[in-house]
Amino acid sequence: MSLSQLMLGPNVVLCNAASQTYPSCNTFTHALSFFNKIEGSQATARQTAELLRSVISQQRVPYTNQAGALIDAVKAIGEQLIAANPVELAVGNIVRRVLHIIREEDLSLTTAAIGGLNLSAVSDDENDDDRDGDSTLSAAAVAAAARSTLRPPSLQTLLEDTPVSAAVPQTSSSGAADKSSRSRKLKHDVIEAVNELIQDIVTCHEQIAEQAVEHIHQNEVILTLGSSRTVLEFLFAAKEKKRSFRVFVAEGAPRYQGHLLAKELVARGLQTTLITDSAVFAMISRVNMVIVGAHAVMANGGVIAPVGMNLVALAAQKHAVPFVVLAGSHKLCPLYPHNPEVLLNELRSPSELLDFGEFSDCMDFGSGSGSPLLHVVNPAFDYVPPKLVSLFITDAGGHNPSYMYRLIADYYSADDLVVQRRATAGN
Amino acid sequence: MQYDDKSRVQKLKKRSVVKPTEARNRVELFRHLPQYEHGTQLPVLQSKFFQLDTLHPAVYKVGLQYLSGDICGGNARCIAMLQAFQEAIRDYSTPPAKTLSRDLTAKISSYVSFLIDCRPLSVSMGNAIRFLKSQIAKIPISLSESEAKATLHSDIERFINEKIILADRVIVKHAVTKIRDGDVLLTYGSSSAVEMILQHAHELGKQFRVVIVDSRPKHEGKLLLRRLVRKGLSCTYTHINAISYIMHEVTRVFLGASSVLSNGTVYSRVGTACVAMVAYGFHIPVLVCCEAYKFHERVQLDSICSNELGDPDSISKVPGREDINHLDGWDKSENLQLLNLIYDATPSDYVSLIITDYGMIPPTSVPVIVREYGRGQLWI
Repeated sequence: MSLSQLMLGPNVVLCNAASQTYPSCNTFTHALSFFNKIEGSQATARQTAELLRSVISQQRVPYTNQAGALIDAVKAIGEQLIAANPVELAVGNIVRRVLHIIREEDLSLTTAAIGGLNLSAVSDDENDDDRDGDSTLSAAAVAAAARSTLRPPSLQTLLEDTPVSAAVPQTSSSGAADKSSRSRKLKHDVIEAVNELIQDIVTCHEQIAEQAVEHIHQNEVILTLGSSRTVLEFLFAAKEKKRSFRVFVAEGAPRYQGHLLAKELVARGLQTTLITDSAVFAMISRVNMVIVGAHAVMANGGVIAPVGMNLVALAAQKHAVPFVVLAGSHKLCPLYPHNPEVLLNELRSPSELLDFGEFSDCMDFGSGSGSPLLHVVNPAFDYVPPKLVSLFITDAGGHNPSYMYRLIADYYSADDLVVQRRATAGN
Repeated sequence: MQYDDKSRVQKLKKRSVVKPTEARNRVELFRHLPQYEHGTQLPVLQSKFFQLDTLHPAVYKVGLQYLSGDICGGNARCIAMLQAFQEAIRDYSTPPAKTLSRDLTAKISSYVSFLIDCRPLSVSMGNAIRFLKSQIAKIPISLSESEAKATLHSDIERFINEKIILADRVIVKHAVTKIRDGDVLLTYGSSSAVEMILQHAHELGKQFRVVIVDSRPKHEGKLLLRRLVRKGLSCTYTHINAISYIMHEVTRVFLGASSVLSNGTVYSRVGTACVAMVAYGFHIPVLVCCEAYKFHERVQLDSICSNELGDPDSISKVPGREDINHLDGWDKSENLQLLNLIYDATPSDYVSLIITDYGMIPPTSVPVIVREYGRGQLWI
């Protein structure tokens, strides 16, 4: 990379690389703008899904190994999207979801093909074309396909160069009609499934809010920190069902999003008290439940949340107050966190804490070694370990933190955990 | 005094110099505490300066300084109050038909109620006032007025010297033994005792780093930060939400206290409990530095039964960030309350050690000190 490219920043470099690899992918240029302006994992997830959908629909798939081609295309884009903003885990989640969708659709088409072969004796004349196409697939080839897609990951497959489910074997003799219909069907199915995914992302707030009535009773006192749209909708839903409760909102310095949340809650007629973050321990003994949103949920049940959440979680544990985390399924990340305070964190500008003008005299290099005397630390995220969380409420229902790893098997494939195209000799 | 008792509040209002305005948007949990109504009093009081002949001008001045927040911190407030009382006693003359002890006690009580109207008393001030009243009561009748006044003056002088200034030196001497080279020390807000400890340790040549944790709305840590950086200490500054992030590097936590109660609870600036809790969770020792005159025989379990409420407007506004103005006009909506607590109570299990002028004691030994060295013997 030249110096000018370096100065422009990683986003521009990636975009240039992408547009050279995928000249048809004009939508990638949108990626530049949205990483700087879009806030919130829901919007990011939605944009990522829409981008990947357009990548898939524009991707020309070969006659053989369509799934592999789609997967490669998505991985190429996904790798660069993730690298552009590693802290926004929702991007990686959606990329992996789409990869899983591709694999699943391919699997279901293959099993349908096998089923079609078995049932060929009883099919009627209308399916002549399909039947002819199916019958051209040699039984051996189909059996091999079934073995490869249905075989669970084992040590042997892990040591192979190519991922198992992408190695749909080449069918030597096949009709052109069958191939194009199969490839169209795969793309069509995948795009339909991605549309469903986008729909899920958009409606996750409503689905979570439906469960509000089960958890909030009359005369409750609820504590929350900062502002989360999921929490807002959750509390509104309970208010709609005529539950009367009070809310303590901790302001969530240094972004002060709690002020926003308090204003919106008051506009809807909820009794709200705004407190400073330092008063959380003082007030939590009078609180019945803590309900908060999350930035991301990791595979072990740990939560990446706005800074200050660990404080609230510890105080809640000390006073035996349930700590409930609301998270849409697009926030569920299949990675296990290692040293998340440092690796999954972002340090923001010190000017939010200290006014540079006021402290300019202290910023000089004072001591003999030349290192500055004054450091300012302003992390954006906090990690809450799973043992402090009582309950996760997702759009798929309520779960224990120990169950979250199981949800991952529903949404993600094990092959996609590392979103990187493997440079192998054969490929 | 419990402020939800209507009859007593009525009596208090009649006696007071400061006329309280009606509080708006009270938080229900805190109805038993005096609501913060003092913000509007400063101009009123300033205009009344020449009309109040019942009040000594030194006491009046100190009251105004409390009201405006110029003097804050347990030691500073106590010393300012005692020095004002010294001046008042010096200018005092006994009216003809009365005894000095009774009349002076009544006068001091009226000064105290004025100071309470300006800002509720801290525990240190309460203990100092009790000391003064007991000294006044002990004055023998045979003493002449000038001798009595001189005795009282020297008593107050001795109290300030022994209980505050020398006590701080002893605390510093004990505490620096707990600081080793390579330590990372965390402190919260701005405590005079902790600041002295850090400066003294730096002068002794120990190599250590300081982490200053600050919070809204007072941002007291900024003042401490400036003073320490001027002295050449290497400091890290952060806010209370980031405590879990920074606590990995910390080796010791030093905290100040407004008071330590008889069940070992540390009554201190709001946020201290959060810091102590996180430090305890990371197995880091928490050392509280508190002079013995601040101990009290009261007990308290949580931060709600007894506290002080501050100005709610300082929460709705964020100085320096004009974009955070979502809560302008907050007092017009009846659903919204802003709560600005000044103190909180840290449970004794989070505290490893309390450093006092009587030595380094565990929190469970506080009632022993209050009882053995309390009342009569404490003041020798």
